[in-house]
Amino acid sequence: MEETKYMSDFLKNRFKDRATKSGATVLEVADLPEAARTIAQVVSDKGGGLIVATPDLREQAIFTREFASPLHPATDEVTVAGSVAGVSPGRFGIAETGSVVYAANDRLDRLVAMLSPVHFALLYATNIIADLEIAGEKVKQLQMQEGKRYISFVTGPSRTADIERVLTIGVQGPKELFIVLINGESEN
Amino acid sequence: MSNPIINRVTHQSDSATESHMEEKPAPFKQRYHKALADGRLSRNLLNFQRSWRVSRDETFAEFKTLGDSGEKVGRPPVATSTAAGNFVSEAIPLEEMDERDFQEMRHKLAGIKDKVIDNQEDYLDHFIQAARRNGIIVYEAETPAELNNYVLELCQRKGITTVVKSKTMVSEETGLNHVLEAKGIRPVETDLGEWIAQLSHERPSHMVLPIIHKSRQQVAALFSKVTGRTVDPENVTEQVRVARTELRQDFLKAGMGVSGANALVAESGAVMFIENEGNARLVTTLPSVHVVVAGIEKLVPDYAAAMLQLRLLARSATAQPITSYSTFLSGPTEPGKEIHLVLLDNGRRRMREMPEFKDALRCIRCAACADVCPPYQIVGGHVFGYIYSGAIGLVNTPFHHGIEAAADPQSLCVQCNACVTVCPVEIPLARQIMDVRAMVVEQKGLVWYKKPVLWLWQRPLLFNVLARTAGYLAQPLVSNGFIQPARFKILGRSVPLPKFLKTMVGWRSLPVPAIKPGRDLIKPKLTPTAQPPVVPNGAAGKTVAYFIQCLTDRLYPDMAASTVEILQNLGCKVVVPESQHCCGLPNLDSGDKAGAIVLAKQTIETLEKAEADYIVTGAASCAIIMLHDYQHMFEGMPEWAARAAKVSEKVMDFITFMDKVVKLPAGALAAPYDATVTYHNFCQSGNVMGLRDEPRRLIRSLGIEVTEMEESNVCCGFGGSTSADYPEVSRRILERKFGNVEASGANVLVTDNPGCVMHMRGGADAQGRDFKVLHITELVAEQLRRFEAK
Repeated sequence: MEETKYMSDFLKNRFKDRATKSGATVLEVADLPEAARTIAQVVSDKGGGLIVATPDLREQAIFTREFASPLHPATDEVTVAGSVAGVSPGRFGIAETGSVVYAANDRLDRLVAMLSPVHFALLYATNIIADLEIAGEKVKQLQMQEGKRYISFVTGPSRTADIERVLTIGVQGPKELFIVLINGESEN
Repeated sequence: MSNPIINRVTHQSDSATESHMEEKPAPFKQRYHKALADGRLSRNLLNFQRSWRVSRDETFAEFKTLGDSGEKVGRPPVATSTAAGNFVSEAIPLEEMDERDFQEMRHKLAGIKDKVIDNQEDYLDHFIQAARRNGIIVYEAETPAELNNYVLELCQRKGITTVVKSKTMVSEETGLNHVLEAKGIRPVETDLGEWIAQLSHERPSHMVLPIIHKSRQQVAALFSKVTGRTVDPENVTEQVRVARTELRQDFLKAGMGVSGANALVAESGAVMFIENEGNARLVTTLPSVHVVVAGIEKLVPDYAAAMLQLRLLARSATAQPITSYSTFLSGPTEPGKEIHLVLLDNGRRRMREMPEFKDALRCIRCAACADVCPPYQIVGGHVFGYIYSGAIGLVNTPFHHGIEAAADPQSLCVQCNACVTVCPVEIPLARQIMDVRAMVVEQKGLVWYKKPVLWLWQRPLLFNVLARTAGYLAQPLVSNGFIQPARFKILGRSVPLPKFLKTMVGWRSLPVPAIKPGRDLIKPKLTPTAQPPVVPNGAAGKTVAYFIQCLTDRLYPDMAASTVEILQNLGCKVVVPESQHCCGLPNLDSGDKAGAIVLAKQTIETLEKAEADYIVTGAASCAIIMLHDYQHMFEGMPEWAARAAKVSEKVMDFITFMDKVVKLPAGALAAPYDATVTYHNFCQSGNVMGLRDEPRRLIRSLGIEVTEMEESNVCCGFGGSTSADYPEVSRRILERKFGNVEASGANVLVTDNPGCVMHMRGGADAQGRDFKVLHITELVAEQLRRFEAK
């Protein structure tokens, strides 16, 4: 038991360290309601605005009820593009690289993580795996067994260094990536 | 809708000729001179190469650090790891430790890619079947035209007028944009650098950083013109914002997305692509039709291999542990979505059939080979390459675009082998470039001025007479031990050189041909028995056959005499095989493979007769051709290959001989020395033979500490035939070296190859530099004399 705790602490700490190095902000929370409150707070600190979320999140009452104004569904790409923030659940995290992995098939669900200037990735700490080797096995499983057609490792915000090699954050993808790391047990 | 971009392009495609990018790059000479005239280009690339090197090394070193005791990077150290960790760090020098994971990983990926290349059709079949099962429409294009037409017809069939593209080198290879534009379809590059290149009607000059040659001011001017609004020339963030705003409209209205692929996963039929900007995810998600274009060499067997590629690719390309987005796409995700995959051959199968070139199909397009390349730094990717740039571009261009397109760019390679040391899939790039060079010479013949020189070179007796005569004739031109074209005087007055000569020799003094070659100076000193060694050492009592090397023999006879003096003082019996002439390197380097073989055979015959324990040369380059190139030159001639192998067992360059056989402890020959010494790793010694600590140990045995300069591994610019063919490039690389030497504060620059000595000594003299250039044998001989005098 102690060994398991040692391992999971190691993975979580390494993940946080690597994700932070990649330019993401990691926010640790206890459970889903706290995750919602944290997101609402960050967005409101930024002046508020439309938040879009994927259907599986919008179905969770304990999550949605924490928001003052309702979470918006990703009805079409223009809505998503016009939102201030998007919230998506990460399938798993990779400690080696600090990446969050998405495996949503639905086009609009995917766009939630692509078009908004601010993006929140929800990730259960228990879903952090060690490295790319294990990630490879998981991707194989997801694509070949579970029919997931579009899987992305997301590591930090969108960036470019094309002009004079000046690192600039936020090109076509999100300018800010918040990883909301949930320490509690996964609901499903 | 008043999108300024859309207006602009519509307007342009109506108007005259300059709206489309040239289908073919401008003639080579034109590109070459344009690049030389562009000071910013080489400045940008120099800064880039320097910082890339540091951060790339750090990301590979970090992989080890993260993995603690060498365990996997994301996993905690195992409980008993301390002992193992200590053992490893004691056994392996730090520099190699940092590289250890890189070497292991690249070797592994190279092996995996080789397996795929050797069974390409099987893997391809498997991949295609899997992809089709996933609902991807697969088309195999043999030629660029087939690929372009497929995409064009698809657009026409579906009435698509705007195509958003994420980065794909394959579409550059086929000229897809040009074909679409000609039919009124508007391709929009959405990678920032590619978009800027497209707006300026240019091609990417680097596979990863397409507009590395441009400044922010140029970008601002371009964006101001395109948007009709003023864009801050200093503010890169604002410029990036322009791209986000402008391109978003195109993303939302485009009917088709075209992307490339970084890997094709055979086991599942999935496509992997990686990026930092997020544009590729939009290109592959937003439009209802998505076309992936990929070369067939992108195949990997499984996800495990794809993960290994991820680890190597991001580190090698942008010095990141991983890029912002790595995506695996295995098929259409919703009704109405179409995914097409066009697999391009365009010479790849032909490459696979040629044993000397098939390794190049391992390439994962990271551009690391360009990031360490000295001539690339001077002229950039529009010159050093064709569509693909950097070393890999010199190798694959003949197959993708014909030998004509590769003929000139390949001749810029200085053969420093730096590319080989950083290639994440172990492609023998330098050797393959020599093979391309030989192919060019075979088809087009030698440059006119090389013909007589190389003809004469194969005739040692005639050459001997002419060389001695040249020694006499040169005497009136000699001053300070050089021929100094920059300081020629007639009747006491300076003579301005004509432009051609100024470019060739205005910046370097030339060595004086010897009236008495080295072999004549040595002969009277040879003794039938060895003398007692001045200090105990591992070579005492051994017989050493000395291979003088042509340059040393004819230009630096004193250097030859010094080497013999050292060997004799160490207690060796020295013999000098009489008929020795040349190892064949000048011919090989010029692409004259036939001539190189003649000389190699002559050298082997000569050295076979030498009755000696070791064959030692002061010219590292000769040792390297004998040890590393002869086997390749004699492929198909097993008897000669065997003879070459036998001879090479005894062959050693001077440094290796001193390090592995003589083995002097630190300070063994210590004597007072009051200059500051810095060491230039002759590029091939460092990159091919891995000699880095060895020369420094040798210098320490003289009681001298080496003051390190930056970039001691980077070529001096001599590059054999490069210095004759491209004197401007040769000069600028030399100046990079001199800048580093001067910054180190050293006043003595030491190296181990006579070619480098000639180049750097001549340059330092003509440019009045404040340091002197010595061959390592000269430094050792000098210190040995002081030691004996003590």
